[in-house]
Amino acid sequence: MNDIAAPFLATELLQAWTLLPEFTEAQPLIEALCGRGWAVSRSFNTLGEIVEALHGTETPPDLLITRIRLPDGDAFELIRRLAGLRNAPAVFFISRQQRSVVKAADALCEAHGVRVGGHADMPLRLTAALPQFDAFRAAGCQRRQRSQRSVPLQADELQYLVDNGGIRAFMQPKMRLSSRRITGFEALMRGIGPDGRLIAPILLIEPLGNAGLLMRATLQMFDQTVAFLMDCLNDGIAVGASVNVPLSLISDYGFCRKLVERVEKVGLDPSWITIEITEDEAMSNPALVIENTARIRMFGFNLSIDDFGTAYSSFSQLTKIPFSELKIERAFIRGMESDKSKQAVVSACALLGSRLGLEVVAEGVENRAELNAVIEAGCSDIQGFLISRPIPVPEAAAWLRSLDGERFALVEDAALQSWVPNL
Amino acid sequence: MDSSAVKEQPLALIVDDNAVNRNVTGQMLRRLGWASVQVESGLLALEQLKSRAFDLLLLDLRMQEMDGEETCRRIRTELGLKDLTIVAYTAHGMEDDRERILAAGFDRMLIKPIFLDDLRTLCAYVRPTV
Repeated sequence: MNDIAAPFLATELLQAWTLLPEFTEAQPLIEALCGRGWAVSRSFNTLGEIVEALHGTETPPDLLITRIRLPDGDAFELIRRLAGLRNAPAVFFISRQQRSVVKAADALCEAHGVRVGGHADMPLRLTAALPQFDAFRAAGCQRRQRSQRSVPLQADELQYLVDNGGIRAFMQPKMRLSSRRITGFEALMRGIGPDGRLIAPILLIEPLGNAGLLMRATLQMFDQTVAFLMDCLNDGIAVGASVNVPLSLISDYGFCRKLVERVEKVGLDPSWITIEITEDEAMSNPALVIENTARIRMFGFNLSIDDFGTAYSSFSQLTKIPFSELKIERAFIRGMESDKSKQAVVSACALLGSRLGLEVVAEGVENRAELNAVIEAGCSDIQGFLISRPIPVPEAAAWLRSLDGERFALVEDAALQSWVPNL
Repeated sequence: MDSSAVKEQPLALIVDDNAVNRNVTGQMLRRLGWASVQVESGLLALEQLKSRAFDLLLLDLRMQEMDGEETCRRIRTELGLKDLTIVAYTAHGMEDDRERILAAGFDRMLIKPIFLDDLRTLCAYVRPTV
């Protein structure tokens, strides 16, 4: 099926609509797009018209090219209207607005789950704008291909995975910045289908929850993590590992007992394991959060707050809940080197964490520039593709042993050499 | 290994009722050029300390029989080992108890889990020349 899909997609036209009133450069843009694999099928002049069309019988386009200020409203209202749609198009902004307004539009898109296709300033420079359309088109084709392959798993398929060892912990290493040593791993859930195909977490975690299989899957992740740790520790390699657990599971006392039984059975000190609290609606109930997190600490596990700064986690929770680690979400890290507000957020989180005696982990560090920025901000540890992708347990064990004293060698070490570790 | 080398090598006593922890700590100390003796209780630690000299004592605070604080007090008073470096290690979140723990006669506190860098810093403090 895939070998048929690929050539078809290569020539496929992506659909775009425009909402570019009083924009004199619209015509050259539309002509340029038509020569690059786009079909600009409709053009509108008011918010009212486009909203009507989007809610009509027509299939929405892949991309909507719009100004931010409109004669009868603005793009903010448009984004809100898009959020309610099935197959909402992505949005490309063309504006002469100040940067903070454009950033707010991006943020609103993210909040509503609407994709941003790109931005261009007025007057329009095609050389800057067109590569963004090309990139969107390339990613869009891949997205379609992927979504053709990733049909949602059915309940019986999920059951099969859980019954037959199809739930696998992939390990992503975490590096302490002061020593460049690997001090831990985060276990991330992947599925291996009967055909050997890798199944992404987005197709697993929520469906497992809906099918009532998340507890079993989480315990399997936990078992694999415990086995991995025992293997390392028995070899004299001191590393910890964290497992993601939704708060709804921790509130089940029986589940917590099962975790304790598992570490006791093999004689593992629970402090090698960190339970990462993933945010769900339960996080909005402070009493419930305190009860359940305190229980985890009582049993001797460490506790980490994932994606700090998003959704429900708050400064006040940090002071009330016995966390040992704070993880800063990758969205704050991505492109941080050139974004002053992200730098401010990450620095504030790092300062807060260190004053509370917590480890502060920057997630999703992918390149040198981001590494330098998180060092500058004062984070204590990093995780991300710069060190390694999540890898299967046997590979992680071999990788760890291949390092010189668990120390990760960054290729160009100029940045770290200039930085004096605070030991 | 000749006998003078053995004499030069500093010796630590590891007291922990968890075998995995004893083992990994012992292996890390060996990587740092130290030798170690490992026991699983405070009472056995007292026995060891009566029979030979150690450069460092690593003591888990939470043990089933006699806990770390009690063990430490007895080492300081009954055995009179005033100069021995005794380090408590304990779970995260005990920072508020630091004062009470140090009052039991500990020189330092480490938070579990203990990594190689923690031991490296500690060993450099106890025996800077190794």
